[in-house]
Amino acid sequence: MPEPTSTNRLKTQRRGFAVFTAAALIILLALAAIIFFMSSRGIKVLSWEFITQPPKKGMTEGGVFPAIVGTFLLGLGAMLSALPIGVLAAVYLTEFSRPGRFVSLVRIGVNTLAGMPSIVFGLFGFAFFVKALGLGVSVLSGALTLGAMSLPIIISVSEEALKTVPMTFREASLSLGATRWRTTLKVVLPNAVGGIITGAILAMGRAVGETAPIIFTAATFYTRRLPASPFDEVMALPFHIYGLVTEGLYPEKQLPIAFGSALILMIIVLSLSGFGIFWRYKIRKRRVW
Amino acid sequence: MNPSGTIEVENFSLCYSDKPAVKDVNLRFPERKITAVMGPSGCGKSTLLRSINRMNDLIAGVKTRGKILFDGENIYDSGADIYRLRRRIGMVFQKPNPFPMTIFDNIAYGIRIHKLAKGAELSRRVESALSAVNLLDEVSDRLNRSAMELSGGQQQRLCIARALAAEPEVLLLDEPTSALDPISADKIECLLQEFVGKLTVIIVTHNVAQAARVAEYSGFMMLGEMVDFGPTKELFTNPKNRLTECYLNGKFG
Amino acid sequence: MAKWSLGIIAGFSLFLLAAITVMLFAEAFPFFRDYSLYDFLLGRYWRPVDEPPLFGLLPLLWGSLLVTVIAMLFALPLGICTALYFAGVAPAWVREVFKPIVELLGSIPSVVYGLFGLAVLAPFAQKVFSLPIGQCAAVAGLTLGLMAVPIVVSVSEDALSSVPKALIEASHALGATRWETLMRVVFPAAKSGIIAGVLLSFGRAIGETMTVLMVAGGAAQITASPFAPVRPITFTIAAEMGETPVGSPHYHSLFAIGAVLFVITLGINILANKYARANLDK
Repeated sequence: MPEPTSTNRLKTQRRGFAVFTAAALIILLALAAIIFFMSSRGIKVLSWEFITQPPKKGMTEGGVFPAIVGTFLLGLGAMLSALPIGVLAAVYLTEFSRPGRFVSLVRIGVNTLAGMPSIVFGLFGFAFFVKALGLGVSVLSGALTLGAMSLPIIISVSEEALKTVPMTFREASLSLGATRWRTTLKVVLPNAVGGIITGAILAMGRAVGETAPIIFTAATFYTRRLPASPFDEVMALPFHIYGLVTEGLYPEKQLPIAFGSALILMIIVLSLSGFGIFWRYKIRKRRVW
Repeated sequence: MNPSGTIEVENFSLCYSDKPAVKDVNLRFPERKITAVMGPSGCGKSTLLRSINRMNDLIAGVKTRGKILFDGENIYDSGADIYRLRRRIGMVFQKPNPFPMTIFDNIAYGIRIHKLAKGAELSRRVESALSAVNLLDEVSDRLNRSAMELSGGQQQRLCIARALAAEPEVLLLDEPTSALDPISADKIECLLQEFVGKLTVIIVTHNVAQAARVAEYSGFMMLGEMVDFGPTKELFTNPKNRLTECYLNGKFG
Repeated sequence: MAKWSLGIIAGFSLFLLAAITVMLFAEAFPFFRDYSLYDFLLGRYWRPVDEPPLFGLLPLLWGSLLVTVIAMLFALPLGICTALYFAGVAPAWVREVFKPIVELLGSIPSVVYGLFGLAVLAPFAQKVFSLPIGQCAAVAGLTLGLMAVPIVVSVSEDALSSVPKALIEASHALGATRWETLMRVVFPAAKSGIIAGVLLSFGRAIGETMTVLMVAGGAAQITASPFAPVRPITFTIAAEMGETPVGSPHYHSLFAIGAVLFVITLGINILANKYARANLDK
């Protein structure tokens, strides 16, 4: 019996590949459509005044300058609180610990924190920082809440960065008589610092876009000024967008401002994440030492 | 059993994006016998082997020149059916690579995709492939367990059985024992002898002693060229080429 | 010495987790002094400002599940097919260009998706299906699904592309086509990694707040219609926290539903980690 040719099997392949290609096209087009739509609506209100002026006339005119500043303050505050702890924890996990009960417990803890909904962090931040510690609804409470949320991300990207430093580097240093601590400081960390910063930028990109953790802890809709101290309430872009579309009294005037704010937020977040993702890919590729 | 299984290589060259790997090779692999291809690492012996079932197609930037004839037909013809070709020319790799599925499904893979058999006939063929590599007795009670549970040597024999199940006429082996312990390697070498007269076997090895033990014919490759080829005994006792002599004597490699 | 102090810092994440758990449950606990656990867990009405108030979890839980399931029905098939496209169909350069772009789109803040759902999808659904209001479970689910797609694609593609090359070679050497190799070898081998990704995105979706807050509508009801407005757990917490006096039963009830959400996502994450580990072990 002559063996059948593979024509039918290749027909199946073409059909299957067509389905997958269509799915990918739908996804990319849908996401592109969202970005295009949001940008085209936002760009109409974007101007120098919009970026540099405070809101005016009951949030129906003016700009979002205080919200931009507030967003950066919260993001930077979150990184200042989470980065030192996160990096040192990662150093412990990769450089100093031996596999055991404590380490696996810490890893479970980090994973659990990473999967926790942001609104739960919001509840915690309100109950703990705002109320129990008496920090009030403030930049500080918000930054600490966002910092708590960013901690697991920072630990895992720092760990990844530390693990890319080849074992031979450590062995070379240790074999010359250096202590583990010195090896970490002089050899491991300098070689991992790029990856750690990249991760911090990624984490900050995520933190500044978050709304749920700051609703009860830091953000306010009805203010126009910049915070004078860490204990002041603060405007933030994501919360401002939400406020404009849900609490605004003049939707026809406030919706365009919401789109403008959303565009600025997208630009901030996408440039932070874009920078982070780009460098991450570069670092991963460069692993040939 | 099989009518043929001749592989003729005619003026065949291959380069990886401008880097030549095989240079103008001419030879005929004797059918239904074992032929070994030796040479130092990087000499192009694996590339030549992977050209015979067109596995190099998977690598981007590969260019070939010349012909490889399988039963008189050029496998590099534009109309060639590479899926059928690869069924007829089986391959076993350096490291055992069983699929992460059951032992049964591993062996049945080729039979199923080529729709060679179903049901009871499928089971029968799976068992006969396993017994052809002397593995059936060892695993008959756990055909539905994962193939990953087998030892390295068993895994490699499973991979040979997997290739045999598709009923090939040629079997290509790319350093099939270099990742195994000596006892498992010995089992596979003995096994190959059982294929003489049934299959054309081409084995690539850097292990000179292995070539001497298993192969009736041997070739020696160097920098992409086939510098020597002939019956193994002749090649070992009276190499035509000085490089071959040096290699066989362990001067390099 | 350094080791010990670093260990204490590493333990901080455990301390944080413990603090979150303790705060959540400590603030939820007083609620059950006034309200029975039974009526909470099985109550069918959420009417916190009625007299007497009703704090039934079921309509909120139902809202969360309905929206999340709709989101997954949209995101999983499209996301996994897209991952299969990147891993098995697309030429290398397409993958190298678009995979990071998809990851980048995954970082768009949820409030932006929410605004898109509110300003575009909801009015559209209202018109097309002639609904009384456009904000409903289906629109919230679709918006959430759009948001979940990048995660599903990214995690599934990672699982697919971590399948060893040797298996792909083995399949090709047996005469399989690229399609057969992808569907019969690569996909099954990546299964546990994909399941982990699916669970992870399910957990993210059920805990997502801003998108549902802006487009789910907010009616606490148990309804089979996807075009009815619903009130997921996250919606309820975010919407009601600011409007209730601290220390009231209503205030504590929001921590109680927060604790429920915490337990649900914890369970999903434990499961996801189990599958992720199974993927690594292989």
